[in-house]
Amino acid sequence: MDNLILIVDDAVFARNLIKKCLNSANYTHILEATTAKDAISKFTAFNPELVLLDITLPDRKDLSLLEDLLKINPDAKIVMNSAIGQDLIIADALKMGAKDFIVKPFEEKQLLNIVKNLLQNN
Amino acid sequence: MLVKNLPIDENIIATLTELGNVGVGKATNSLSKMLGFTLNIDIPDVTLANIDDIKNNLNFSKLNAVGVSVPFENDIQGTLFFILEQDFAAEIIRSLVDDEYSGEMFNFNEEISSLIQEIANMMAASYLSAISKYTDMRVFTSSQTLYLNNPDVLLTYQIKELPDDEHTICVSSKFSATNNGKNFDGYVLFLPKDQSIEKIMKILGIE
Repeated sequence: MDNLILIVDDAVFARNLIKKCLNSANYTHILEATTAKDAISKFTAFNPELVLLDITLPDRKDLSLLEDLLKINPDAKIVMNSAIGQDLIIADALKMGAKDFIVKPFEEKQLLNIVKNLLQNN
Repeated sequence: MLVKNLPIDENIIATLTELGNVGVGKATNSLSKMLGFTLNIDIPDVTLANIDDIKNNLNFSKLNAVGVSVPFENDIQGTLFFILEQDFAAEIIRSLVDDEYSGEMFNFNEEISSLIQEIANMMAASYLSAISKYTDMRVFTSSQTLYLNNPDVLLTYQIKELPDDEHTICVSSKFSATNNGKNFDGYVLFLPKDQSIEKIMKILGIE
């Protein structure tokens, strides 16, 4: 499929797991970013149709990157993908404009359902 | 016994034990979900101790292990420290990325290092979620650090990073797994800063 998806995660293991999952559903147009700086640069340059965004990065450890990306494009489809599954933080992210929140470890089916639903509504 | 002005009485120990129990329960659930085999947990041990006490209590000196420290901050601050015995780490690697992994600890490639760090990150986040549920606090983790060394060395290094390095409150939990007929042990150490313990107790109404 042609949908461009940006994975923002500093852990190569996590990125590989997500890529494998996306590839299994024929999502192969994938960009990767390992830092917030890298994410902002690729988000701005390539305008991906979906972003899978981790919270803990080498240069960020809160929801400020979500805020920054939504300032650049308020209509961006950003799905949080983090082990930090605290109810308060999930609620904060959704209130700020994240489309969904996937808590690690996740099931492939859950991730694909969310991705498919968001990209079908493009 | 005092940490600054914080008395370590039975109520505080009972509260930290319960938080540790729920925390490590959620953390091992996450790991179990990834690995596909069951993990058991022991009741946490709460100590106000110096580095030697902690090392002696945990009897780490004979272990070959991998450790990951995960700092946390925001409403409370401190560090979670994960220690996996060498055989446990090797079993995880075999289960998730390389079923022919030999068990050689000090030759981790990028993917294996990333896997071990990601597991610690997920366990830390689950542990902190349990504390967040009890206290209505927001806690973020920072990037983790992987140590391949004897746990005595790891722990000495880690605890020296804490501001109250002479005595610190340590909530230690042992967890274990059985897979393919073999037993594996791991440990979680919750090392909150003193002011964070005061904050947790205040929110929970423990005077």
